[in-house]
Amino acid sequence: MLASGLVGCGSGEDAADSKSIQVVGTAGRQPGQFSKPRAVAISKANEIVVVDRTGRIIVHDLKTGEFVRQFWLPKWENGTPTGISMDPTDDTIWVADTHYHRVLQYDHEGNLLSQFGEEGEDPGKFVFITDVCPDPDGKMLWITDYGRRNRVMQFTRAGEFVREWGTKLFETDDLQRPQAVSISPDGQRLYVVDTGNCRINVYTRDGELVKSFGEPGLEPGQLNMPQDLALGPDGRLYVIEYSNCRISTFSTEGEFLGLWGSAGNHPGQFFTPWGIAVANDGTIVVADTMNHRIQIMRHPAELAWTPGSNQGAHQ
Amino acid sequence: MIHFAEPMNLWLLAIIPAILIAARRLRLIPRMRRWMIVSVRVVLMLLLVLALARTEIRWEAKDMAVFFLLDRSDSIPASAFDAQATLLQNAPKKAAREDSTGVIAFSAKPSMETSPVPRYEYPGKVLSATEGSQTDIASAVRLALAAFPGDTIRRVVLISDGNENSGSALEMARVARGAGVPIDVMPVRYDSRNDLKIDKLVVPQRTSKDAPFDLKVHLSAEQASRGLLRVYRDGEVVAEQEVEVAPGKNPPLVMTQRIADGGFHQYSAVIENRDDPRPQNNRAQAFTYLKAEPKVLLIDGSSEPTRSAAFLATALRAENIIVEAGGPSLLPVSLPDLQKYDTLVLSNMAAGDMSQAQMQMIERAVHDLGLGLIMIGGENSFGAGGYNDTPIEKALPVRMDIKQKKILPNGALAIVLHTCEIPSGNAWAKEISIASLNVLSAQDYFGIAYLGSDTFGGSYTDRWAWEPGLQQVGDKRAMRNTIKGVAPLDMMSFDPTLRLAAKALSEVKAQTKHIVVISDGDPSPPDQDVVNSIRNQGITVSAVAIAPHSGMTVDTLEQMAYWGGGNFYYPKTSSELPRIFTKEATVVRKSLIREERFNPVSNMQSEILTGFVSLPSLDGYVITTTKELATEALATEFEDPLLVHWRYGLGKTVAFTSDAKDKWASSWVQWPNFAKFWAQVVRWSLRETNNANYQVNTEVEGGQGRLTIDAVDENGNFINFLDFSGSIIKPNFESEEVKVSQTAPGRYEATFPAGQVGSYMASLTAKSAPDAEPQFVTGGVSLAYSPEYESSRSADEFLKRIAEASGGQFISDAKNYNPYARNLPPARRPLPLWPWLLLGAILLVPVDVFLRRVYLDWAEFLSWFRTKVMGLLPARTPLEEVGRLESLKAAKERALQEREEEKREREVRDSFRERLAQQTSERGSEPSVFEGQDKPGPGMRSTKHTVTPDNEGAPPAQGGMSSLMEAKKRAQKRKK
Repeated sequence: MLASGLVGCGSGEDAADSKSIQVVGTAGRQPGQFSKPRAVAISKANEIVVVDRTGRIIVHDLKTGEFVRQFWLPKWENGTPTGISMDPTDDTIWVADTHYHRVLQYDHEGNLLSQFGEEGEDPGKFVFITDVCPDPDGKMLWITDYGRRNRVMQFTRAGEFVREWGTKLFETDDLQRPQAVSISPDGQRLYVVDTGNCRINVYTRDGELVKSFGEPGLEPGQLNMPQDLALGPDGRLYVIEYSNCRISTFSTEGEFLGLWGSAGNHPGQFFTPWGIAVANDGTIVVADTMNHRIQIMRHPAELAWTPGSNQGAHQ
Repeated sequence: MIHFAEPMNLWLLAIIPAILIAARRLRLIPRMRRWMIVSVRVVLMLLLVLALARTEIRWEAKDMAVFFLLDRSDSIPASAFDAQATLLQNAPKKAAREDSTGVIAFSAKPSMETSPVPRYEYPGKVLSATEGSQTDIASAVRLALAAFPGDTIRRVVLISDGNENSGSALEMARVARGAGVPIDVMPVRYDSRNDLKIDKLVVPQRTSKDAPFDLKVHLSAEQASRGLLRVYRDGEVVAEQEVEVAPGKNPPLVMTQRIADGGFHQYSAVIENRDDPRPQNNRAQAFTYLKAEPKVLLIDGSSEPTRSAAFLATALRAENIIVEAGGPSLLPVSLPDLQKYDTLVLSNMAAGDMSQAQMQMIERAVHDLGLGLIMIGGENSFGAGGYNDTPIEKALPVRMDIKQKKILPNGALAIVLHTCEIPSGNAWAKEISIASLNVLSAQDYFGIAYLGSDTFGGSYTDRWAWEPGLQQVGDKRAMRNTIKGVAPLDMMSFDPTLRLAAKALSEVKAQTKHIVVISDGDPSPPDQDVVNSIRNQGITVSAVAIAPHSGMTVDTLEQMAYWGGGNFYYPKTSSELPRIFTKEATVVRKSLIREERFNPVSNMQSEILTGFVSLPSLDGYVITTTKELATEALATEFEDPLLVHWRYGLGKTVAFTSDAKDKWASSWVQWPNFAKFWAQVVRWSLRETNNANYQVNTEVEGGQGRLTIDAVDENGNFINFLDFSGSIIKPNFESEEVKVSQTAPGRYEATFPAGQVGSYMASLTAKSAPDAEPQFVTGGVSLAYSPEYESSRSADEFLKRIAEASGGQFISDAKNYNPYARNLPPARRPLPLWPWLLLGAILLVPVDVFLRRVYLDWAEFLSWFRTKVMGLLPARTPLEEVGRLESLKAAKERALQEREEEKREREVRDSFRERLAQQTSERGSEPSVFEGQDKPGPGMRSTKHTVTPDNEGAPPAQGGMSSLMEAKKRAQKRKK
């Protein structure tokens, strides 16, 4: 979910939107089809990596949208992963296998390289692991988890537990269902999607809350069940909202910059989307979950963004 | 290519020559118009005939679509699925680029694994969940035929063992052939050499006390085998022996049995063999009946059932009635077990303490088998126990809804519905919501809160199934329909939805308020403050965990229910869900309980109350409504029913709305006539046993049940011409009427479909004459294992017949088999033309009428059209052109004529002048009559008009007129 690069600027009309959007996939289990895609990431090799409800990790070409290959997770009957990330050092695939309480690491061909984790609420164990995000140098992994306690956890790349912070059971004020985590390019700030509280929490590596922004609501600048977050190449935060069915952008300081998208099944519309990723060239990819497809926005600058406080999502 | 779907109708084209012949009668009409009329009529008729012949154009399509049908029924061991996987992996690689491939997995029902897609890739496993207890090949073929793309060459590849036990594949194969779709068949083979099975267990349906009878075990094996055979009676081993089983069907193994205790007795036989690959078919069941004293089953649903039931059980026993008493776990789950009793007493037993199937079983046992049913009140019974709209309510003489009260106590129930990610999860969620609704009365409030689309579809929020969120139930049909349309989404957190439900509950007036949360535990746990605040408002919260993703979340939900003061449920199967929700919904139905001392009031004369003059007072009851046609023997002082009874089908049922223990009936349990009263109630309800002494035999084989009745009187004479009527109660407790026919002297037979595992109970009445006393005939049989396990090998011959019937092939070499081979005729896609032809004919009808009825001057019309409509200069028709030439010619001739006349006139004038001049010169200077008139010069016309027939009427030249005027003036001057 982390990418670097620059995103273009400006806004466009709806007609321009439809030209800038590529809808990929239909509902189904065959190559080129998706069933409730829940998480998406973009590799250095310009491939879109998606995990869907059929337990597949599906790879599509970023440039063309064409299906490339797919492979299956070991198990998926209990449920499927909600978080997937690319390793910035070796471009391997990290999977937060939510309903099997573990982390999986795959190469591009689908070979399982490593795995760790077991069920539990003790430190180092998982109830519902929602996302895994490697450090920029790839040495550490940052993980979010909920189900009993809502927490952010730090592990070494080898799966050794380092630390965690979060709430007690049945406490939700500070953090409620952290659904995704991204890290700043310098590795000093963690951006955690506090889904239940409809906001983004910014932490230091030690777990100190630096700031928190966003509030529940339907208005621009408010969030409604934010589900995933990607740090764009321009340093902006792209947040996908499950219940508002749109992308909201913020500066890393929490300033609302703009929003785009609506509920529906036309291009540029979403149905309870779960995942978002931004490529180095600014291309945005959304896992449009209940529409059983992904949408690729190659020229975000041409989209009709509703501007935020600084008069435009893209400057 | 033109095609006529009804070519016979083309004979109607013979009408066209008739039209041409008839056209001779139009001789008087101008030729051109006549031919136009005839042409229009011919075209009209041609269009009509072609439409009637259902003319269509057929396009040829060369793309191919192949459907693979995978048999996933229980008869195929999992190891044999590899062959299916291999074919699915390899065969689609032979598809051309334009070909498409679809996959259907089937057993009892078909499931679309993949609708036809190009470049199909086998995903490694079959993902469809199928219920494998039956094999219905026909339904899978039917689905494939319906799902094929219309404009392709089509082929079905059936991969099955061919052990069909539902539907007719051969019939469907013929349908497929008619549709041009061949079915290629690949048999699934598996190793079943060591299969040993019990084909059936036979015991007489009726026996006598201590009389010996034969128990026959029919065994069969694929090859010579040994096994340990055990025979059980009512769960206890009565025989055990090693048996040798020869290949094929063996002669029955006979054992002698005796029974001393009366009632229904169930036998089962099991054979054990360690190497048997199919242990499922190693058992069989049968039951027999020994006439006995009436027996009563008393189930008490109180928290201390033994103590509560003891009051009534002791009283009945004192009256020499045999009673078995206990808690809800004692309630039978099968009909043969229930048949051991003659009356069932449900005392303070909630509907939620038994399954829907058990309720249906009881209702059928009462209606069809004459079981007596008594419901005794308590805080868990009648409406307060959730019996609204249940089969038990149907059987009882009272309704749970209250209609005679104007002001009624009510409750409010809110369901918080999280999406269920189990197969058919959302369908279950709706079913349990409807189950809850069924329990509620019209005055109760009900609502379903979930995460869904808001009114404008712009975002997804926590919302209600209807507005306002909590609504009085009123007519349940509208709510049921709305529930069917509810589409809950994956809820991220419980908090907002719980808050929504609590807010709505706090705003309605109800005596009891309750929330039930249904979830897989995925949402974020609620904040404790939220749950505490709900509890503090007097609202209770229960939680139901459905297919939770983690054991940890089970604890979370349990904790939530604990704080909420409600119950927690973790059902192991989805079938338990309606029962749980029925029970939960009754939380809000406790308002139907009225705890107040009252004296029973006798309303109607009833045989049950014979001998009782006065009855002690009672301290409480559950409010109900007496059904029409029921006898309300006793009422409360508040005019609510207390003791009501009626006959339901062959059985009798009683409702006593107060209790029979020391809570509401403390005066009664000390009353000396307590035992006598209840003994009279129970005896009135007992099953009537007027069983005919006929020999009944019931068997099931190959999915078909057979009932045989041998009717012989005491003297050994056959009883003929008996009139039987009745039904079979199937394992799902649905009744099916059976038709019994006499097949031999004293022998009567009936057949019935028997594909479900479980017991089949026959309940018949026999009459020798229309006004004769009916005699009851009962019988039954158990199907111990699914028909799927009856066969131990693939039915190759049957599969070959399917292939032949459909025009397909039997695949013997799967490796080289290519389902995409273009050895089928190209597909033709029909484009029907008849609607357009018919439309053309309809449009021509007014043209035909117009031509016949309206005379049109086409020259005039065209001229008008060109000038007025098209704005052009008038066009000349050929006729006009001729006329114009003729007039030009005439004018020219006239001009020539005039010139000739002028010439002649000039010659005359010149000659006259010459003569005049000659006379003047002869007479001197005598004035001329033309004096003062200009003399015409050379080339000038004379002003004097010579009147001749040729120039009569011609306008005089201007010079002539002025000359005349001048001449006139001169004449007048002369007169002066």
